[in-house]
Amino acid sequence: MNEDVFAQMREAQQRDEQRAEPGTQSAAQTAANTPPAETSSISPAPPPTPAPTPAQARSNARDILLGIYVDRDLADFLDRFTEKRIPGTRRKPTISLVGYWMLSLAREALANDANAAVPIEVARKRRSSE
Amino acid sequence: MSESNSATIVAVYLEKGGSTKSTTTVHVAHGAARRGLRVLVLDIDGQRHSSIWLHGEPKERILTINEVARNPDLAEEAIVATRVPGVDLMYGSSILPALAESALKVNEADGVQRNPFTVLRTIARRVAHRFDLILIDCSPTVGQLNTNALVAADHVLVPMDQAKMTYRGLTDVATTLVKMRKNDIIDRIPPLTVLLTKTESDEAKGTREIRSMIQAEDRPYTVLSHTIRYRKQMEFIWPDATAFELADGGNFRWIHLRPVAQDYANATDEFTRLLGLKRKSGSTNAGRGELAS
Repeated sequence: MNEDVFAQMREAQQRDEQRAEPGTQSAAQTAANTPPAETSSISPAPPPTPAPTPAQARSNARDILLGIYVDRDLADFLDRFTEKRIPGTRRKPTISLVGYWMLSLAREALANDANAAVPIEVARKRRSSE
Repeated sequence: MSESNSATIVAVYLEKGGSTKSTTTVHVAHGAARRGLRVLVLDIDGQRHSSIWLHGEPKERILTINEVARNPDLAEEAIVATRVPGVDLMYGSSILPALAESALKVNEADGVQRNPFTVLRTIARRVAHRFDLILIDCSPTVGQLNTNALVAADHVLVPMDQAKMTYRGLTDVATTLVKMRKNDIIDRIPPLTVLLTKTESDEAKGTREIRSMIQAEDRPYTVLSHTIRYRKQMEFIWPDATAFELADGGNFRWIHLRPVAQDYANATDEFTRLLGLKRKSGSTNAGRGELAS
């Protein structure tokens, strides 16, 4: 791979920066060229959370469930789902039923090597065609 | 740009195909709209994936980028609303990429010859006063239309997975920009920002190596600290809904998309701050607070 091209690009950018007058800079250029001291009002973005390794993930299904799929607002999620009626009935799902659904999904995800499962309707079609 | 009351033009560009250019365009547009920004997606990809995603297949004949490229006076008229509030669209054309070389030479309105590299810039500037951000969804080629996009762009966003071919694609982007600068097609190299997509599938040692090469310190581009996690379900949602819509919808089936929507929200936040675009008061996600960082 041609690594020199990045050096060439940097040189060209530096030449352009030297030549450009501040008054003629676009806002995007200004944002890119502004020294750190002047951009201190913009707080740096927090670093992304590292993903669990497959070994960690397999050893702890609950972490996969909470950490990857449900993310951080499990409580909100449960509240939302326990408010909805089960189609065709007057029943609302209990927390344990929603939990069971989630575990089923986690199990399916594990079976798929910790990648997200295919949508349910696609999986059903596949199963019925087998 | 918010200060000058004119949009920042961003080309979503990588010459390699399948690098999530359209997905990134649609989700960055949606993420920016959720932050209260007015966004225009200008689709110059002949596959029209982002157009179909945002607007669906047109039921009746509408003006596309094909007509507007031939006659930029139609630019305002060709803007259509999309399924996402706050995001407008100039519909893509499957014809224009094939005919770009001849179509861009002459303005059909007056029959006058013109600079074939600045047509898209003319179009974007005509409508820039109506928007804060214009995203150009480029096609995976090095054609005249893509050259137009790079000439028009204040900024280039490169979505990348961590594959060797994609890294090669990044060096190709740099090569293209350096060549364009040397030949005075552009008067400066626009700032380049890399968004890493399809992460978390990087257990392979080779993938980690590529990622560290992309993130090497002395590079003439910025790598966003937020990355987009890989979820298989993203491959199934086109063209019916965006990850934001499905994550907000509360349907249990799409729960895997919540992390993706969250990632796009964070990455868009970081990217718009980098561009100097301020979040507008009354933005749609302020009330829900679900996916806002």
